[in-house]
Amino acid sequence: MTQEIEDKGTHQIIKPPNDLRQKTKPSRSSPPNFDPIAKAEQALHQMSGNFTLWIEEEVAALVKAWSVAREAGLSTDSMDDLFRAAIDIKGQAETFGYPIAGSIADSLCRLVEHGQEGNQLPEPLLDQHVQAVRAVVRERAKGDDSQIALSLLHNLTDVTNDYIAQSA
Amino acid sequence: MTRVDLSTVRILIADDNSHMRRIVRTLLNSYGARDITEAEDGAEALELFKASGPDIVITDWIMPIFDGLELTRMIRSEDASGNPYVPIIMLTGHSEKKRVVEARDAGVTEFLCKPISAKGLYMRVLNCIVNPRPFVKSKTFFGPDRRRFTNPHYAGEERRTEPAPQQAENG
Repeated sequence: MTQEIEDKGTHQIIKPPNDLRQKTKPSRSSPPNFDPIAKAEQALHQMSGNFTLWIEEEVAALVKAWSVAREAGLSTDSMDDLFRAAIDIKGQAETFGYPIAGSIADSLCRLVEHGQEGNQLPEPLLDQHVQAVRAVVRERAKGDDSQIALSLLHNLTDVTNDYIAQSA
Repeated sequence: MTRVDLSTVRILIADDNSHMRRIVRTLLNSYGARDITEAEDGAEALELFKASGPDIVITDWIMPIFDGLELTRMIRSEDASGNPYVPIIMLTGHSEKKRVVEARDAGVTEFLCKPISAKGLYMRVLNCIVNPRPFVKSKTFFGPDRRRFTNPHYAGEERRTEPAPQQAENG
């Protein structure tokens, strides 16, 4: 198989050979009723026993990054580390069963990104986000039935939105 | 659903978070993939890309040394030894539209927002295999055609002077 190239003057359109299609052709011995998504969901469920430990490890990384940032000052490097820890929680908390913690981490990410654009960041608000994520996981506030966790999330999001709007 | 056999497909996962790497590997194994390698940062991922020649790359955005966006640019560059047409799936906590556009402009094939789901990842992998996009090469861009959908009924002249962004696919 060779690639096809179409010259359009300002650019070329290239169709690379699709070896992957050939490589993934099901063989006759492949089970006909195999459902890869159902199998993957089942595998995810089987590993969910680890999720509480894993979210606790992520929270510990966030708390550590924040502690270092407070001691060293809110520098570019320390805020980058805090952002990394926060976006990991934002991306994984729902998978681990803690969607509210993920949403609080999302608010923290937006706040830190706002600071990365040269705006002054309020240390107490950063601290409140970190402590809120920590509390939600510590109290096992997993679903939407935790009114305190939800109210914490809404308040932090509102204050963050106001802050970003006012200082932009 | 289209059936594919992933048992011989070589997949490279680049993510600095060990929990996420384990989740992605578990999902891929469940789909039938067996040949999976992992990298903890962009530099290690580029080394493994050159050494192992993966069929699909799944990368996080934020990683130490260099990030997923830089990794994508390096894989797509003429200097990189290896397959510059390799499908790249960006799996990231970033969800803003500007990030999707930025990833697409760097040469990413598919964009998938975390939290990850079994279906979301499978559909991106399947798309790379079943619906491969042609590549565009111009003075300023090399990567999968950023116009995912071509109107087969369009009979007008080609208006593209540069392969400009037109539509962002959301993950």
